[in-house]
Amino acid sequence: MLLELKVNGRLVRREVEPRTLLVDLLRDELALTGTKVGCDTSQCGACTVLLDGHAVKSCNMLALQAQGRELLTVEGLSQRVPEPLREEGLHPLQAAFWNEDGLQCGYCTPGMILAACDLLQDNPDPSDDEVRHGIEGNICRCTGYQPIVLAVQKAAGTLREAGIDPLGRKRGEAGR
Amino acid sequence: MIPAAFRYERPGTLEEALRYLAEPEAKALAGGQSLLPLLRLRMAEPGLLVDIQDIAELAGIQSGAREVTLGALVRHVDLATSGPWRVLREAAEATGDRQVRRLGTIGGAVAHADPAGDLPAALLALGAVVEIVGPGGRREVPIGEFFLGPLMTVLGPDELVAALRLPLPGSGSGSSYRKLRQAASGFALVGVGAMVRLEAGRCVDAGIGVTGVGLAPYAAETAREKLIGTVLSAADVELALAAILEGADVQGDPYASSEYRGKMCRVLAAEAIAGARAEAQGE
Repeated sequence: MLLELKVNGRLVRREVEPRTLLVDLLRDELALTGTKVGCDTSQCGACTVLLDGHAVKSCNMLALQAQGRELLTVEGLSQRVPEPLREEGLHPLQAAFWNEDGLQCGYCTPGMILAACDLLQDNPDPSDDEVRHGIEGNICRCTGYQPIVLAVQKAAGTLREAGIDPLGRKRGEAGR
Repeated sequence: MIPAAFRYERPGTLEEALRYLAEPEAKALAGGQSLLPLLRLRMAEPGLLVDIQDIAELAGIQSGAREVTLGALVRHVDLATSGPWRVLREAAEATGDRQVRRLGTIGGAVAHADPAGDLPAALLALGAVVEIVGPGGRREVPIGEFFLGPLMTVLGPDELVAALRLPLPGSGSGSSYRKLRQAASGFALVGVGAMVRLEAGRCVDAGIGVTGVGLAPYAAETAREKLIGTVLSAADVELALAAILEGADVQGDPYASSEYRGKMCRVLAAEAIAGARAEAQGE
């Protein structure tokens, strides 16, 4: 069936089999391999992407369910914030994970960052517990989570100072 | 993991969806958060998936004078923030994780009938009515009669859950949800939803929904009746909760023995009733 959707701002048209999972479209068809497959049972969150701005698990969704919608993967994230806010080309969340050692093997990181991206839209200044609840759908087997929580809070601070949400929208606008 | 092949249709109207669902081996797809894992594990191999996400009349929360109607497509995330009862907000927030709550729907959660689903317990506590549509028109089933067993309901293969109807909270009413999670999966080892309505300090209406304990979520009817007419003292609640497992086939598994489940069911029910009472008293 013909599928049309936007991925990282670009219009994508592809003929897909109905059973194609969204994550397989991203990785195998569009070569966007930043999105990972960790568990394949919708537990680990490594496949998290943003669908119309909100975090979903792309291994737990058919590509066709995203017909006509807008997707953001980790590859497109840094483009959403103004250039001066990027550190070596990285989005503040990516930079904070880098600076705070919020990763070791890095496999869970894209999913973690996009889940955090969703959380920080709702809550620009989350407490430790709120971050942990916000990323409950993402599993990390290396860090013990503490540096991840710290990284999310550091990024939250950077975004608050800049007066924008993680998708680069001015706070108080964009329907939130 | 890749699901077995199927046809996919995405109807824009309810009539069209029902026509597709009348085909053999058809299955409705809402948020897909329970169905997709089943497809990938090939525990379900439908020949046709009917994606109902575009059907406007299945969406949204509508409040009337006394009742509120939750469309089947209301997502957990929306229920968690703007559900009309606290027990619904808490059960929605306890369901799955952030990503799952973005896509999962109340209609799907009810139709899937997971024996450890959180929302069924809240809906049982509130005495919800399930509105079902099918080729023969509409019918209504009290939620207490809807669940038959693990992943089994009274829903026919050509029928859809259209909405859940509940009373609106009034003055003196309160509700809450308590849950003991399985640490890895997050599913309820035990979950209890409670609702009470007080008049002059006395309980005039109550509801208790239990999940994770038996083969299907159930309403604890005897316990509920025993609460009515009391002032919900600790002794009143303890007396009522002696009957909370009545009629339930209490399950044991490697995570929790049936004895432990039964015990925790009474503990969490007491907490849920206390939470509901506190809200009813405006605390």
